[in-house]
Amino acid sequence: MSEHGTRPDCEPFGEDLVLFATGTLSGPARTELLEHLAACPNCRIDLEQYAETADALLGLSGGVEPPAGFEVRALERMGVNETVVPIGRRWRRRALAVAAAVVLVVAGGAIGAGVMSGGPAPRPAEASGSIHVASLDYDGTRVGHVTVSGGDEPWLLMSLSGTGWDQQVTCEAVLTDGRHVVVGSFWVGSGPSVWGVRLPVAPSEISRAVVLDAHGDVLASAELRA
Amino acid sequence: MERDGPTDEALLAGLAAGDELAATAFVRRYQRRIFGLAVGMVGDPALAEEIAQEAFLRVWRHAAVYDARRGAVASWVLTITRNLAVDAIRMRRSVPVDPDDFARTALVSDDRSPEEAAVTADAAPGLRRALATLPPDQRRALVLAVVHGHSAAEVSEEEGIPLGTAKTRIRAGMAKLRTAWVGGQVTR
Repeated sequence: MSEHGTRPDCEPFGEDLVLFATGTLSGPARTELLEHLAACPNCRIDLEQYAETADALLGLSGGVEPPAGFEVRALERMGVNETVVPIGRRWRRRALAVAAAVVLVVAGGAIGAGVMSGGPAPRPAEASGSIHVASLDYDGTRVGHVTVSGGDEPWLLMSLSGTGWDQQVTCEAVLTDGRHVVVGSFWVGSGPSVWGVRLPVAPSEISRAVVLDAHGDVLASAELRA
Repeated sequence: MERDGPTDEALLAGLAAGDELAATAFVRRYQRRIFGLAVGMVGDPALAEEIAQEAFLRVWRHAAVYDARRGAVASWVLTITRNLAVDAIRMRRSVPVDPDDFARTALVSDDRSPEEAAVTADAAPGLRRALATLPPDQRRALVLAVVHGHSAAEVSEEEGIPLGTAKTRIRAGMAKLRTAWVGGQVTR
């Protein structure tokens, strides 16, 4: 933890720093603080810790069961309702959404860098990575899809429709050089399920993701190279 | 802490990509916390549901521009909810829940599901203890600022205290919680 207040230049900003962290500081005081923060790494550390503390305090609020039907209404408002959306339309919409997501992730990095000017130095925008979605098929039938994302901490998300597998499966990444890397194991019930894991390799190194049963037989695979 | 199932970031990216299952998993993971925060702030369950529904809609719309480098998903989602609740209270001139009630709930509330416990930081017990030991006037001022989004001037007016006193209470309360929070993070 930094020792805020030990520097005479910082002391006048002590209260404003806390108010800024709570998101309630405005006007000239905010402007002056931002100017100070641009030149003071100690206060930037203080600000980060105050902001984390404020977030944590917000997180202490207890969970309360929402009214019946809440989940369905929330998903309907998002336009997500598997029971009424035809699968072809869902995949067209997904393709468009993925394209938009990739564009927005890149744009988000630029926006992030823009709004942070004057404050702590932003990290490189390219670390945001990109999202790639591929169909997960078995014997010509789609059983789900795989989403991979790059960036500092690449991950893989696997969504499965009702496969009826009802068993423990293993996900392997087949790399472009032919090696196989076990990504993780998980239980697949008979109904829809979703599973995700951090990737031990960069998505650009992966040509295919395969799902194997306990005997090593391939249950499904997804081509991740365009 | 490791937990079964996808990370918040993975679900959020799935949401951005239009993944129905990821969206469903995300709503199931967060609905109790989002609704809990909303109802804890506004008191009225019907208004809280409106806020919580809108919060999910905003998360969905902005999932693609979420930047993990600027904070955890849980913090982002709860801040969206808090801001919506603050706006609703101001626009409808509703009577917000008393900050002491929120603090009481925060102090005793640990009825989280395993998934919720996993997305809530492990240092929460230390923070909860620190909140419990704050002088009541500091705790009220801090909750008004952090949870209700009130400026120091508004805290001053509501508590009937000078502006300088309001700022001092917020700062002192936050400093004690920060020590507990950062200490809890370090010793994990």
